[in-house]
Amino acid sequence: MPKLKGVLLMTNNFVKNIVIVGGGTAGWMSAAALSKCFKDSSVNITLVESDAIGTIGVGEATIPSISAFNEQLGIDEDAFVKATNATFKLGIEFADWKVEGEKYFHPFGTYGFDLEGIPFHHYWAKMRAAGETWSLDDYSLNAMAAYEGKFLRPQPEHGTVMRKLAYAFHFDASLYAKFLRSFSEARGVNRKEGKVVKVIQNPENGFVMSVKLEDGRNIEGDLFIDCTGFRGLLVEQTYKTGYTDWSEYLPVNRAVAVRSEMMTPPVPYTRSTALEAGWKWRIPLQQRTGNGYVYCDKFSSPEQAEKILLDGLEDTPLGRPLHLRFVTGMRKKFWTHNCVAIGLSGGFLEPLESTSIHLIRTGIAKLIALFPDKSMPAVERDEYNRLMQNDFTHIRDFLILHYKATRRSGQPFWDYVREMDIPESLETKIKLLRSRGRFFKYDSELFDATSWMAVAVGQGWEPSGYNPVVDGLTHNNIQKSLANIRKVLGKTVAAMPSQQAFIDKFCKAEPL
Amino acid sequence: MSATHPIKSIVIIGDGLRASLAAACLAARCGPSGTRITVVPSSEDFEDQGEVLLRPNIRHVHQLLKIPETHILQAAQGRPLYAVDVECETGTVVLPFGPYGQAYKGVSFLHQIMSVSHRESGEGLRKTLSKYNVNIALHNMGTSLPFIEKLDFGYRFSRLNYGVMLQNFAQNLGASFTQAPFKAAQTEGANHRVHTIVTEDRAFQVDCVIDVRSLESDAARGWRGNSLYIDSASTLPGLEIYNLQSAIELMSDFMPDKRFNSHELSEFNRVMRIKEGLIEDMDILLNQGLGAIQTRPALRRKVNVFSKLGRTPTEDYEVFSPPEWEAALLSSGLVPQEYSRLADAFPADELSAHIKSVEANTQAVLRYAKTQGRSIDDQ
Repeated sequence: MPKLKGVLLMTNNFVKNIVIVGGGTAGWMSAAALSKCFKDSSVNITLVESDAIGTIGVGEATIPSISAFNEQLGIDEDAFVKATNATFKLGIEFADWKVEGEKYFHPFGTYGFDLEGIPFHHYWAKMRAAGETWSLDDYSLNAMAAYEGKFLRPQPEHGTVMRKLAYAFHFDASLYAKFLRSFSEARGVNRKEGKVVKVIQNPENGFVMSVKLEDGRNIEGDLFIDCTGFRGLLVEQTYKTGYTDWSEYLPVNRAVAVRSEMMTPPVPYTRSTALEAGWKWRIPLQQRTGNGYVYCDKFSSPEQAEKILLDGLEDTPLGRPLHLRFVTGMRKKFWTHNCVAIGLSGGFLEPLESTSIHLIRTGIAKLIALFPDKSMPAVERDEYNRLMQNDFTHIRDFLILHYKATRRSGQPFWDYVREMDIPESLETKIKLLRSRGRFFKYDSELFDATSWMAVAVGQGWEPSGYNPVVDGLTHNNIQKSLANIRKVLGKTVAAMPSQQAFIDKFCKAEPL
Repeated sequence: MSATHPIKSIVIIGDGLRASLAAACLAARCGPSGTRITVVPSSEDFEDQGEVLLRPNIRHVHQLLKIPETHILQAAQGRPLYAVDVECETGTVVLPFGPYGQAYKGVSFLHQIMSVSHRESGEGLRKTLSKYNVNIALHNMGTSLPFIEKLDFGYRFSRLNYGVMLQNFAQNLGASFTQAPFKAAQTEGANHRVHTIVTEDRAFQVDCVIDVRSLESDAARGWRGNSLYIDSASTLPGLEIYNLQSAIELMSDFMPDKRFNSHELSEFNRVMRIKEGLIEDMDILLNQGLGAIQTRPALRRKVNVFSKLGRTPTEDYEVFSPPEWEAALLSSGLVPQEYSRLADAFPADELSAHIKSVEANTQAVLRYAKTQGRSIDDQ
């Protein structure tokens, strides 16, 4: 094989057999990405999963980076939307988070347009100081379109305003896994049905040599990817790598989830509503709605939580609620020996900002970039672990902001999160944001100034000042510019079709 | 909610191009909001000489200043700078601002080359790769070069002319330049807040001081009280005013008011320290070699990951581009032990055809440059 020329010259130590343990979203996303990368090569990819072990499937909302993943696989977006019962997502509405009865929107995309190289929100803050009452949402194409129920996929021929629309998806995670399974199997991934009963390690170096299935089959590999969810069959149960527990900052540790009928056209955003001991999500798909209550068991029993969830449903529930337990945090090592944890086995930051699938995607991308040989040198592992820890830590800080900034009081859960100590890194960020809307993004940080401002301002932490450089433009000039932005955004939204009309035209799912 | 304590007066202490650049940027940024900018020289007889080399991000500064590039080029006798030469003990290392070849379906060019050819020494690999780097090829052509907008380039300016152009620009925006040199700074309070700058012939009340003179120690850089101290930090070519430029850009984001919020100043200093550290890393790699990396975690990571995998991990607030690091790492004698398996996923002839097309593109750019090349006098 001519393509192997380089390999043979370099070393005979290349990974030839990759074993993915566990299916679900993480397993099949890993299989799809690796099979795409190693198509036509001599690398064998095997995925072991058991139909007897259910998948979590709560990660149904995403952030825009999912599009890049699908694009890299060469997946047609409309086919994906149809196959996964998906709808479009323009952001998240947070209700009752600041205080009961108030809500705000965290949009994808950006607010307004930067003027004179200064971020837009400083001009907005100046005008607020001068008495104007327009909210940040009035400068967000995403927020405006979301509340109008509109959606249009931006195209290169669209103007600069329309191209500001950033979107992700709500989808059925189990259908996505199924969709990616077809994709992966068509590219040579070998699925083995069976439950892993034993992990066999090399006595000399501790590497996993194979996993033994219930029926006696032994699946050998050079590199193992642990997609076994919270239990971390390889990374934790076998290697005991340890877990960095962040429940002091993110104390929710249980969820109860249930699907319900879809009685009205889906809205193009996720809804997150604060409740007594946590918060509930509402994720609209084309033909049903995903609902769940994420809570802390110190402040609510599972029975209470289930009752609150079911009592609050807007539609008829479908099936029995599913109860989940988790601990927010991350593995001390995502990659140890010849095993890499991807998905929930690597850590979990609760679904508040829909980052689970993003973390799967970024875990896979980093693994491909640092793809090892059979010796699994420390340099790859250390770098992988460093990068993943950075990703998790940055996202953690952003999630904590939601809780810390609440003004809810009189409920033990909210009193705790409002008063809790927070990481120093976040404390600095909050001080900068609250003083004059300063935000300085780390290069590797996922959430940008729009996200931080949306949540901080939405929770009532409006900056107490603004960058004095904006005083270089006169009040009238800024007022005119901002009015113009509102007008242009309004016109753009008015011209967009409803999400339902867009779906009906391009990507309507088959009836379930 | 407002900027209730705006800075009304900024004094810049320093000379020539450095002071003019600071004055131009601050006059453009703060002048419109009524801040008075005054430049006080540190000596009477200072005169800029020779050339200044500027990294590609200086173009961002020009955009913010809204000075047409054609005007700058004419006024400052500008020529494009596609790479810089660094004189090291081992010889000259060329750090290109633009990439080696082109990635192909997600595989970097370095990995393509390694996939199709035998392993070479660091020097051999660097030479091979250099054939496919348009920036290096143009750099090696000499002085008569066109500006090719699609490429990453900085500028080579007459230091004197560029400084004068910026001074004129700043003066047009209301900045004033005094003749009498700096004599003393009068301070108050425990944090030595400067309230008055004294020259030979007068005294200025100030809210904020920007000191762009060379400092005696690294520890003195950054914000202290209401004064920002910035010096050049590195002798690497292209970095003479990088610290200043970067501090002034950062100051736009963190423009203080008279209260000089300690969190904002700390954040500013933190970011500047990180950038300085990254510059020091490059300096150490080029001038002290691999033996000196042990105490530099980010540099050690770069060396380890590159020598193993042929990848250059980047840090937050990175200063140098990946091709610059690749050039420096290869020049240190490092050869990646492995290359991306993805490179092997392509048939060898497909990859070879891509590499040939990159070579052809490089040659086409060079032919274009030769026909379009203009000397300084033509600009």
